[in-house]
This record gives sequence, structure tokens and C-alpha cells, in this order.
Amino acid sequence: MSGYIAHALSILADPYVLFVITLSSFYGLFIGAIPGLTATMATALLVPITFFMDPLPALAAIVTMEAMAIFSGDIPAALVRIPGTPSSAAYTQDSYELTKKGHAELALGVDLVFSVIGGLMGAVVLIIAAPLLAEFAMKFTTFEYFWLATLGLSASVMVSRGSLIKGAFSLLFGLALSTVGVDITLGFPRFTFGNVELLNSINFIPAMIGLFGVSEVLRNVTGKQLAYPIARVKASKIWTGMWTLMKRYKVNTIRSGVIGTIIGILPGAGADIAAWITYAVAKKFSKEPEKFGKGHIEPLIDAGTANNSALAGAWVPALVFGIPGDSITAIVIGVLFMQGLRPGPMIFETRPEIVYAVYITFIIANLLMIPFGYLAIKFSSTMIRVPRNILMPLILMCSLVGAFAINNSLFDVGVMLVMGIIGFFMEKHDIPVAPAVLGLVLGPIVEENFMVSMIKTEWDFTQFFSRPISAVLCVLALLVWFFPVIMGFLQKGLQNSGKESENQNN
Amino acid sequence: MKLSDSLLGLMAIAFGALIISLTHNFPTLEGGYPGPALFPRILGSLFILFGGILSFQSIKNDGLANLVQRGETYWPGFTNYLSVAAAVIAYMVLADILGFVLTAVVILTLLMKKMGVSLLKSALIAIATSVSINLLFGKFLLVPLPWGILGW
Repeated sequence: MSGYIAHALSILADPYVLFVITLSSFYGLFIGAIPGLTATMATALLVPITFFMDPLPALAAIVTMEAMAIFSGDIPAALVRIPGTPSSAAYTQDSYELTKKGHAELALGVDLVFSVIGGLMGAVVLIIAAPLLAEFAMKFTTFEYFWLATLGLSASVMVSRGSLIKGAFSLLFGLALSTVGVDITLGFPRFTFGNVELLNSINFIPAMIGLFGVSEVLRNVTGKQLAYPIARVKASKIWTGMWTLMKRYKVNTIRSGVIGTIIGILPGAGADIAAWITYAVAKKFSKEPEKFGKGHIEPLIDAGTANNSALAGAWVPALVFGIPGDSITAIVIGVLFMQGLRPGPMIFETRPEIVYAVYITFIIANLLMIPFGYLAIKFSSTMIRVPRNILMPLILMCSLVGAFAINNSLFDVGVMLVMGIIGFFMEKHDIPVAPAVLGLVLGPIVEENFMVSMIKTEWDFTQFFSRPISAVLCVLALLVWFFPVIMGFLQKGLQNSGKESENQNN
Repeated sequence: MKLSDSLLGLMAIAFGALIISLTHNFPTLEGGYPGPALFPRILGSLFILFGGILSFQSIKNDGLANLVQRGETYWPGFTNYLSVAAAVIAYMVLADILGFVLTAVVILTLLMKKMGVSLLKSALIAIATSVSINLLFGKFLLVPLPWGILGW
């Protein structure tokens, strides 16, 4: 094992890799700090560049970038009351109220310090949990993978905010896209309409760049340009009082770090959901819940720790099963496949240095966040002021080049545009985009494992339920599917019993 | 402009029906078992099911009024939307003829100008960006971008 760590370290210590890590840090900090640009978009735009690198620096770049972006999303939340990424939305109100009271430095200091702590906690869980799960996952066959992918898809719909049916639309759309191209059983071309480019199925990267990059450009250029006042900060003062807060809120930090990582591990739920849930939990257990939303420091600590810990959590199922924990790791899985690496338990045996490199980069990235995050806070007002009407055309051009460069195909540029328009339409109608991405990535896995299982057992369905692990996963999937129905009954039951007790009181 | 949930549901039903109808000539496996058509048909049916539920709920709650909600029309936003789409299409048409650098400079300059940046500033930023992207991909990542007939 130490040999692999040494190998991974020696690759990461290469000046080229260090240069890539530094650049992607600044890139992540910048995109995160621009209101309206998400870490997922940053990943989608980074992918065409990482595609041409070796797998190790490519993964290091993505890990560093996402860690930095999720922290720096907190900066505009505190300074202009607009979350830089959706992961900071839960505590934007509190951050901004703190700034209005003249405590901007305190808010940003907490954001930075607890992002680092959360990120490191998530990394530790990743390092411990992933190899253990990988050993267990060696027992899995096509039946288990079918249920696991199904479970992941269902969970992605369940955790999306808003209407479940709209989440389901998004998922079905992604799955439907994944069926385009040559089919797995007979090699029959499906939905290609005679187009040769569609035979190899819809290219994942241009689709991703469209759904996350172009749609955000469209959203930004169609809205009114808002001019907002930006509070000034003295970066040197951000460290004041941090030690006291760390001691006073150590229970909050541990609780939210753990919850955040678990939510990250859940397929489909990422940093933004982790922040919302830990915000609610913190309010429930707080001694001062009435202060929440009015400029209280506790939500920043809890949700700020959780969103960064969720990032590493999301890599657990991604590396172990090839099932993404959030939309960023969904993109990563696409990248791994294209690099010729099949994520899953075998990767721990065949390419252990890849796994160790991810572990080590998570730790390096979170430690680098201390000095780099400080710089980002120091130059925050300049970053936030970058004019939108210059930035958006530039992002569009990067998307164009990225979509084109993967296959040197102008057809892919067209795919990107269509996906961008669809993504924009979905967002306008409150249809979450993340389940579509999961559907696109997991669709072939669900179908392949189902079809292979069926053909090898000559259509004996009982195998899906009679194998022990398979049965457990099946029950879990059923629970997820019927969760809304069960909750509906429970709520009705509670309301009725509530009414009864009210009647009794009267 | 925003479509109502009932309309979205109907669109989902239509899409599901379209998927299923497109699978009518898909071959079956030996022994008559479903093959390539199985998954698309399941997906199509689910689209119809969920679309039906959404329309039903929405019509039950709001009736058939407000099928299309019209927000305040923000014209610069609408024309910006069209110019972004036009920029992508222009790139697809022009890149192979003019080459990457020239195409990118033209598109970026026009797009920034449209968004309200001054012409000189737009042109300067466009040239700087296009040349750097070309260097990044061409020299650093060794991915050739379109050369065009002029060779640059």
C-alpha cells in the first residue's frame, strides 16, 4: 500500500501536475465566486482540457477545482447576497446579514476555516470507506449492479428539490438520450434517423457542456443585469476568533461533517442538498433557533462544513461502484470511461495509484485552500465585479471549443447547442438538470446489466430477488420508490390523529 | 414565457408516445423475447404515466386557465438569447472555412458588442482570447482547432 501512496505522490509532485493543480485552484475560486456560475459548469468546461491529460493530473485538476469552487461560492453570498454556487444558498441570508452588521470578515473567516475542516473530514471518510466497500463490491454481479444503478437513479429524483414528477421527467429524459445509438443486445441502431454520428450514441461531453455551460450562459444573458453594491473586507482580519468558534461549535462541526459526507455518498445528492439538510438539522438542535436567518454564525458553520464534506463523499460510490454521488462525479465517471478506466471495485486492484491520487489530492486541495482562499477573499471585490457582458461570450467560446475538441466534430457543437436550449427550458420550468445527467451516465449500465442478466438466465426474473445482496438492494429500491406514497399516508395519519387530539382538547 | 404544468404533462405524454411509436420496427431476440425495444418502451410508458399524473393534478388544481404564463417581455434578454444561438450556428458554419482564430474573433466581437461592450474593447478582448485559446489547445494540449482555408 505504501508503495502505491509513494507512486501516487511521486506523480503528483511532478512540476507539471503541481502547475495544473495551482491553475485549477484559481479557476475554481474564480468560477465559484461569480454569482450564477456553478461548480458543475466549471467541471463541464474543464473536462475537454483534462480529456487530453493523463488520468492522474486530470482527476487532480477536477478535485482541486471543485473543492475551491464550493468554498468560494460563499464569498458573494456574504458580500452581495447572491450565492456563488447553489451549495451556498442555504446560508446566504445569514452570511449577508452578518456583513450588514459589519461582520463580513467573521463570516468569510468561518466560511473558509469550516470549508477546510469539512473538506478534510470528507476526505478521511472517503479514504476509510472506499476500500472497505470495494472489497464488498467484488461480490457483485450484473444483478446487483442493476439494482444499484436503479437505486442511484431513484435516489437522484427523490432528493431533487421541488416536484418529484419533474425530477422523474429529467431522469427519463437522460435515460432516453442514453438509448440513442447501437443497442447492447443485437447491435441494432436505435433512434439514429440514419445519422452516422448518432450511431456511437450521444457524446457525453458536448451534452454536459450544453446542459451546464450553454444553459447558464443563456440564463445569464436573458436576465436583467443587476448592479449590486459590494461590501469591502479587510482580509487580514478573517482569522480573528476562529479558534474560539472551532472549540465552541465542535459538536456542530462533527455532526454536519458526518451528515454532509453521508449525503454526498448517497447517489444523486450533492453539496447543495447537504447544506440545506444540515441547516435544518442545526436549527432543530440549536439553543438559539430564533436567530437563524437573521445573521447567526451557526448556519455558516454547519452548512459550510457539510457542503465541502459532501464533495469527497460523492467520490465514494463513484470510485467503488461507478455510480455517481453528485452531478460533478457523474461527469468524472464519463471522463474515466473515456480515459479507458472503468470505475468499480476492480480499479482498486488494477490502478490503485489512481485511487490514492484522488485521496491525496483531496487533502492537498483542502490545505491549499487556506492560503488560496485567503487570496480569493482579498481580491473578492475585483472578482465579483467582472462584467457579465464580457464573461458570458468568453464562456460560450470556451464551451464551443470544448465541445468541438473532443472528437473534432462540428456535429458535437450542434449537440451542445440543443442541450443548452433544453437545459435552459428545463431550468425555466423548475425541472432539475442533475437527474438527467445521472440518467445519461447510468442508463447504459442499467440496461446492460438487466439485459445480460436476463439473457444469461434465460429470462428467469427470480434471480433478481433470490440472491441475498440483490434482494436487499431490491428492497431498498422499492422503499425509495414508495417513499412518497408511504410519507403521504403517514402525513395523513398524523394530520388525522392531530385533528382527533384537537377535537379531544376542545 | 412559461408553460403551465398541464401543458408540460401533455408534452411528456406526446414525447412518450413518440418514443414508443418509433420502436415499432425494432427486432426481437430469439424466442420472441423483447430486445432493443424493451427499454425505450418502458421509458416511453413512464413518460406517459408521469405526464398524465402531472396534467391531471395541474388541471384539477388550476383548471385550464393560464396554459401559457406570459411574464413581462424583456426584449434585450430575448435578442441576447437569439444572438447566443446564432453565434453557435455561425461557428458551425464558419469554423472550417475561416479557421478557428478568425471565426472566434468575429463571433466574440459581435457578441460582446451586442451585450453592450464598446467595439474597440470587444475587438481587443476577442483577439486576445481567441489567440490564447488557440495556443492552449494547439501548443499545450496538442489538439488542432480548425485551420480554415487561409491556414490560420
